Amino acid sequence: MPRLLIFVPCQKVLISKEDNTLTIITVLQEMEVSVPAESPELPDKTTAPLIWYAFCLWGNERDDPETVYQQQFILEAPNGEKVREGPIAEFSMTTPSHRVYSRYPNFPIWLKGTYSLRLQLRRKDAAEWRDIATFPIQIKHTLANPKNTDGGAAFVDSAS
Amino acid sequence: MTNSAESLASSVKIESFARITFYFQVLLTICRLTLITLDGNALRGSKMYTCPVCGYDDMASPPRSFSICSSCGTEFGYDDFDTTHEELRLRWLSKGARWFSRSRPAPPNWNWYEQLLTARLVDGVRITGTDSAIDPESIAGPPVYPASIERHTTYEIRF
Repeated sequence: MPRLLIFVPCQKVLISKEDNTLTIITVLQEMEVSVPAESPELPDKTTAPLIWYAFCLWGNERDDPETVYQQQFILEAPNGEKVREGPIAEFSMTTPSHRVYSRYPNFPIWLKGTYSLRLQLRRKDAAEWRDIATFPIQIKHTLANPKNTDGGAAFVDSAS
Repeated sequence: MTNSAESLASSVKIESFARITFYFQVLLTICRLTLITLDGNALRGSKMYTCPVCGYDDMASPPRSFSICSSCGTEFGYDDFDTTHEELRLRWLSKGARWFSRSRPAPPNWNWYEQLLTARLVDGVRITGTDSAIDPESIAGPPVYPASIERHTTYEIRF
């Protein structure tokens, strides 16, 4: 089995076209969600339009290059509900290390508490997944009044 | 005699052409009006406006001159005559931020918070973290910090 070297949720994964080097930007540890004090309960399934990535780096542990592995990321809400699952990525350890990352268009925020990003791995021919690592992401709801927009533009023309 | 008959025929032709053109224009206007009645989009095109109170971005007319937002129900020019948009927003939120219009149903999966967030009427999400920075001076043993800097610099120059 490959050995996990890095596992992190982040805002950007930059892969240089020039030399294929990796840069990870803004690790998602804690997020503060501004919630209107007048209506502090967010609607069910509310998400923030935050593009983020789940990233992992596997190290070669003298793995058979013919062995095909499957891995998946799972994001669980504080109540244990799976809010993101998969897709399943397949790879073989033909190089000293191997990177896998997945892009997500938004982040669930309707529940406050600790969301868990889980990483699972298995051989392709195996039925059971193995839990490899879990990364906690803290979502805090902070009470705040909505922005004062008066005095600015009278309206926003979305067509222009 | 022949000339006058020809000119008469010619004027009749012109008259009938003008009449046909007139009827065609009337027909075209009727069609346009029908389209406008069936779908307000024909009149307004694809231009939509955003409500400054709740962020609803599909208003058919600008938020002024007594237009009413389907989402929060603000009647612009009346409700905001002596009340700020922020106060109206707080009022709408404190009443549960419910969809207002009965004739126009809320879009599927309508979400008042995502609507405010998209319109930047709430602060949204801030990514934070807590950390402990290690002061290089506090590390026990010989001062390795300048040496590592030196090695790093050499490494950089090599590239």
